[in-house]
Amino acid sequence: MKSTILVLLSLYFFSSCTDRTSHKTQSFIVNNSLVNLKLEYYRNGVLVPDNSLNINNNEKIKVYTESSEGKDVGDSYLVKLNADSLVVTYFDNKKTTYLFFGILSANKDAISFENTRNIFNLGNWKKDIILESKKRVETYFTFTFIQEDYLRAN
Amino acid sequence: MKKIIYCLLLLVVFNSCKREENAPNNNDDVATKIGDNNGNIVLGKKLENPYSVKNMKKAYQSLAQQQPNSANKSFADENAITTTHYYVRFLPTDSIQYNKLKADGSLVLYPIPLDYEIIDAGCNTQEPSDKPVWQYTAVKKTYQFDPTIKYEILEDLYLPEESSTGTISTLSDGSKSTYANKLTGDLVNESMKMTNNLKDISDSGAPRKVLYRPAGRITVFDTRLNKSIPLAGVEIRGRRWFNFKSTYTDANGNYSLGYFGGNTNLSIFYETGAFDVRSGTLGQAWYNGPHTNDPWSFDIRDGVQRFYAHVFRGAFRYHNGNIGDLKRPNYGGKIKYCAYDKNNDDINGDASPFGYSNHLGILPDIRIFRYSNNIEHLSDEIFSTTVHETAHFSHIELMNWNLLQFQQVSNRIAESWAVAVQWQITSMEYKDRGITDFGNPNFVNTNVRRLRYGYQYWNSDIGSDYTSLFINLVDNFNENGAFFPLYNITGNINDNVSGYSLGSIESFLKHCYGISSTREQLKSHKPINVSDDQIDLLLNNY
Repeated sequence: MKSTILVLLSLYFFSSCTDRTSHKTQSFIVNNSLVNLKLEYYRNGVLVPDNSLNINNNEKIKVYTESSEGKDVGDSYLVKLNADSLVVTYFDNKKTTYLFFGILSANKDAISFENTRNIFNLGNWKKDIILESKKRVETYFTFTFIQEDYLRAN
Repeated sequence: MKKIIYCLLLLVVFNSCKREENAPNNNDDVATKIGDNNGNIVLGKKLENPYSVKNMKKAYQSLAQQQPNSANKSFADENAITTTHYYVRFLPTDSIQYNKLKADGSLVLYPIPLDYEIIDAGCNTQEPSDKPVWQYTAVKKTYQFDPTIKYEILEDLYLPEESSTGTISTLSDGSKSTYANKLTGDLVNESMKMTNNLKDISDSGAPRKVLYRPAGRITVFDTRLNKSIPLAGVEIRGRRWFNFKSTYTDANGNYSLGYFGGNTNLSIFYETGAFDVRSGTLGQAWYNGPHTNDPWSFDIRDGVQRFYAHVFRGAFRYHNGNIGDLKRPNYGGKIKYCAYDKNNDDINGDASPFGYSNHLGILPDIRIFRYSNNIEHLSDEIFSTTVHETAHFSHIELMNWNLLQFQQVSNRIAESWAVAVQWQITSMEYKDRGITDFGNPNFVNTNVRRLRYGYQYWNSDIGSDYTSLFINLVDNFNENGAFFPLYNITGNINDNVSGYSLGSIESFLKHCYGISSTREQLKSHKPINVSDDQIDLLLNNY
């Protein structure tokens, strides 16, 4: 009888799934610059197709969702880009160039990776854990364009 | 005591991981059930079966009238044409019965009837993934049916044996036959003609002068490589009515089948000796190719077929390819890779040692999903997820399939091990295919997040049980101070340990339950260039 119970207990435990924890990570870009703007990503000077974004003033766009197994911080929007620079163009055609880590540019006004306003730097994104339980975590990463960004453009 | 057992039984049966199985589909309207306009196979009209005993006798009578002497030399009389086989179909009610049928080596199962015209032959075929469907084949008259599995004998067949020595005979009309006995070939040809299946034995009405030997190459498009690569090890089946032949593609994706007497249905079955890929919970993943007498090569470019092919690739690499010094999974039966053409936001795949299709189904399953957040996984993701889940099975096997023993292994050890195996085998695969830095600390161009930067960016702040522990025992990169810009993380794990191989760790993995026991095992089996202090320094991060 004991062996029967042992087998059934084994069946119960063993029938549990191996991977049970999970996460969901969403990335948002908010435009609080007071004007409309457009994002265009480049790699080696060539426009990366399909990644361009138009964001109206006061608009918040969900740009990426990553979810899978493991209760951990998932991937942000940055992993999707496969880009080394970003040109933000505002409604009046003023522009700002942002550079990925280690990228040099002849444009002395380009925003370096280390700058606190560079979108490529995940440290400049606001991280919010919006749900956490024993087996699951959900995280928001949010980057907000502000008026200062627009005023810097030329 | 009985109450306790009853409760435990209920727990097992109603465990939350269970996926519901639907009742068998009893709709007999085959053409409308299987055929549709959504990329699935479309069947046409039912064909007159040339191999039925009834039609073979008619053919005999016709031949006897045409060539009385020849006919009499072959068969003493018409009564010699008797049932040798049955054309049958099985309807398994659940995964247990389906697995039983699949495990029967004498059965060559098709999820479509074998006596129907196939109108849309070149498109995808897909069974309803969670519903058992009729399985069609021919069995010898002496076949012992399992009385617990529903079956129907559809027709009595007379299937004369082909030459076992490969002898090819020339028939009366000048065509060639695989039957050693010329008169047998004449009989089959006559029956083909009389049942309006002339196209199966002739070229535009003229007798076929040469036999057909199907051959070609199977490739699959890889989104990471942005090119097509050979699909090695997959089963290619040829079928001319009830004559089945099969082979497997070689490392270059090439195949060549035996001779057929005429037009042949060619198909891909994502199955090999140690495993098979399912189209969901139940049903074989397969592709129904053309009905042809031409060479057939096929490049699987997209769609669910590409998904199946990459699941197959990952499994095939682990079971048959170069995996370094890791051991092969050895379950003793076929591992079922259930490939779901579905979205799952929580997991890319998982492994359930007791199976998802039925918790009392005895055989285990691995689940792989095609989409996450409604975006299709890329080729390297599918490949590496398949490897990851297979690593769990291999790990369980190391514990001698001791259920309670494996349950004591911490998630951190189990998942970190699978991550390391995933990293090693996927990196080997893509390095072999030309991405020479795949899985290295400088490599980022993959959607597999735990292979990006060789997972050297992992630290305790990232959390989860999926750590870089076993990777760090193998690699020779110290991430301490290295910057990983996509994550804005500076590595803080001081990893001075290298020289282990995953195979060497695997030899004592069964004794690793948590960090403490792993630490002890590592020290007991350390390479000569590694000190206990270095091991302590590394493992203190986990």
